[in-house]
Amino acid sequence: MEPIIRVRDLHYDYVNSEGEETAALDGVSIDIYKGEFVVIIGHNGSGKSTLAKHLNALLKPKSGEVFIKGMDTRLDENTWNIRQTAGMVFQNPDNQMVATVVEEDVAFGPENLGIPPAEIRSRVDEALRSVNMTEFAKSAPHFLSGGQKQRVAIAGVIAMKPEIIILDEPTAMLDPSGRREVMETIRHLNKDEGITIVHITHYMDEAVEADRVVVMEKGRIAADGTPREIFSKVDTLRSIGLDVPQVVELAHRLREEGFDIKGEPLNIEEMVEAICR
Amino acid sequence: MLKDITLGQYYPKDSPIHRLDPRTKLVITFMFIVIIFFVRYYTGYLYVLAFLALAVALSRIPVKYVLKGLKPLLFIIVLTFLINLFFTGGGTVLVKWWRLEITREGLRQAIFMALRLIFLVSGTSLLTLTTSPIALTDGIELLLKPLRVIRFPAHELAMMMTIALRFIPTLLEETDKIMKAQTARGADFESGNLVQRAKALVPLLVPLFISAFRRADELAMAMEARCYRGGENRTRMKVLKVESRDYAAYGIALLLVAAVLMNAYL
Amino acid sequence: MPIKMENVTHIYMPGTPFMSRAIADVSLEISDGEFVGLIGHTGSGKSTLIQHLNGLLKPTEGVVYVNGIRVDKDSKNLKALRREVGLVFQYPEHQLFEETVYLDIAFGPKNLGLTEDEIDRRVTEAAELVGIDINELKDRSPFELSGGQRRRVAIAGVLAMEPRILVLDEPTAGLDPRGRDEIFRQIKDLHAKKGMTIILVSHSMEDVARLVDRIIVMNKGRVELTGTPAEVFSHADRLLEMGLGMPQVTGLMRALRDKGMDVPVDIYTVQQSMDVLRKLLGGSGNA
Repeated sequence: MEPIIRVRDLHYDYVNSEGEETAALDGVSIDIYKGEFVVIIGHNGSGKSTLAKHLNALLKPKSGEVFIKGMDTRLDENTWNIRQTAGMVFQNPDNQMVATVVEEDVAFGPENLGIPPAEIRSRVDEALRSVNMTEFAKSAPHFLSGGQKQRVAIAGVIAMKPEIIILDEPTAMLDPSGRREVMETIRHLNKDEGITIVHITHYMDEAVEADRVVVMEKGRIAADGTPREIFSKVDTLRSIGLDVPQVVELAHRLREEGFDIKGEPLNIEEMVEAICR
Repeated sequence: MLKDITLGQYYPKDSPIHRLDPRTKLVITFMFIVIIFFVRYYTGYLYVLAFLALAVALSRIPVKYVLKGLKPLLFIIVLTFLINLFFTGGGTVLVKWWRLEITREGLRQAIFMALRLIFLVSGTSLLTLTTSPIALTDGIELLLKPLRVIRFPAHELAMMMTIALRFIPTLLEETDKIMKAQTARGADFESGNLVQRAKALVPLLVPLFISAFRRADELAMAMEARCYRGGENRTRMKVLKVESRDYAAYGIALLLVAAVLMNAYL
Repeated sequence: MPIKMENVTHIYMPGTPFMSRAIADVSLEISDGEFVGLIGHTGSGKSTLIQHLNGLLKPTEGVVYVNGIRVDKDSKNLKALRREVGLVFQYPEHQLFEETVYLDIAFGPKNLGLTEDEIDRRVTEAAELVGIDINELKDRSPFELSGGQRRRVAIAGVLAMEPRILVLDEPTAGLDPRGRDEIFRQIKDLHAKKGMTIILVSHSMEDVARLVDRIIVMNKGRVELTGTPAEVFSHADRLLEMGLGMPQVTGLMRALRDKGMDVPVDIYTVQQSMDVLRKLLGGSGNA
């Protein structure tokens, strides 16, 4: 199967104010397939956001290549198609809303694509429904909570009918209930609407829900696998300064003491099962 | 909290005036402003008053709300009145005191100028009271669209207005927050002379500007990611439609124009 | 009592259509040298409450006492209070404005009208407390620093006021685990070594649980629960009702109890659960 996102040997350097170059991406290669739910974790400066911006053609490779659904991001004529195919949601919910009314903001993307008014209307209604924000259609953004604003931002992307949504730390500025709302929305879009999700975060508990976890460190991919595979490497994660969920740590430590904990439990239910066996 | 203060002074209500197409309201307000300056006799102002009264009545906005718009301008209105009163020469002298004299012509001029200002302000505030900022922006964009032939950036202007409106509450909230944070570090925004007070604003304004630029930067990126590339080939979800009530409104406005012109020149 | 709130109510924009009651009839006490965690979801009144502690807000009703200073709705000139209580807002790096790191940290002490020598001493000490090498960074612009460093400079700016009570609103919001651990370690040091009274507002139950002596839970403008972490987390049902979370191991213990196992409910760290599970799984290990 042809991957929907194909990144080959991607390098990217940032030049700071003093003219020094720092490698943000240092040879990243990754394939992501249609319908996958991929979480990219890593701490600040690991290159995860830079990678995300390459997937939406906001940045172009300095060396290496990125293909989105077969489209080369280096070619200018592909830019708008790529951005429509791979929608992007950013970290700060306040700084990505353009309009003063929720539904007008959701309409912004389709309006840019030149879609006829009646079609925009139905797409906006549908998008608001799928993020469960219909009742706020006429609200002003500054009356919404952080989680609600992020859901509106997601609706704005969905209204463009993308096949991939890239979320660049959408939960970093939210409180626990906001994070939960956003994660539920993402999961729904992935499972029920088949949208490929690339979710960037440094919250480990969000990685548990993914099909696949990619760990980034110093501009490279440090690990790539299912959550179970990744979390079995508790010591590696610790050494690069990442958290593990308490339950995972607990299982790991019990096993170190010689207790027989089967099957790498990732959440409370699995841990209960492992204990009760 | 600061963010709760409603902006502009839109007064939400469901009235025939509120429902008018924003373009209609903009054009009629413009006609209204121009025609005020064509009035030559006191009777002409009766027509203007009647028109405005009808509009206010139809809008179902309390009269005192419309008059509130005059309050901040009271000083200017009085000043204009006095200047015209004392410095218009010619005509019969009515009162003479020391070197100042009030002439019949001066009195007339002063009353006319004051009336014009009062009508101008209440007419335009009726526009902003009955039209939401978004509708107003849309109206302006569409009205200015033909000017694109002479490369007038109508779309860009409207987009800037929308973004400004969108970010005013955010920045107000931010001002409040930074002010509190600096107050917690012992900053004093409330006492001292003018120079000290201006200086005290530095710790507030610098972070505010930095934040505004950061927001602008991020917003620009988010807009690009959502395929924004200017007004070219862009469609809108809401299409403004001119309906029969708009024609009726134009009709009444034209009646006013005709009445004032006939009163003045026939 | 260094901090005492008596029946404090705060109403925003009273007498307007936007009137809203943020906190209602709150009474609480915090002793000298306590490390208190304040939790509650957005809109529970936490932020309003902490702004009363250094006079940024005055109670609409009720009285606040801080180290003997009395604040009610008519109080004026609260500068003395601001020396007692340092307040670190969320994303404090947004308040940086000076040309250099040194000048920014010195802003507070300067406002207090201290001598140059005293300012210098305080800046150096405050920077050290947050792990900023002042000799290396003092002439750098704060805006050139990394996000984590900027935040620590901003916290140093508050510490340089030398408050006896420090209130921090979500000091680790938006930081990655490494940055978060570093900030928490420094806060813990401030408490342990300098004996400061610390009030930490946080969303993260796991962080609060392992740091503080006492937790105050706010809900809908009222104090809903207060007690040691063990006491508060043993009321897991009420926390869930308020839409708050709990440490994952607390949830695990609840789930095990539901399966009929005899485990305690007041568990909130991995270490504690190790002890419980060792006993429960007995025998099967070699420990």
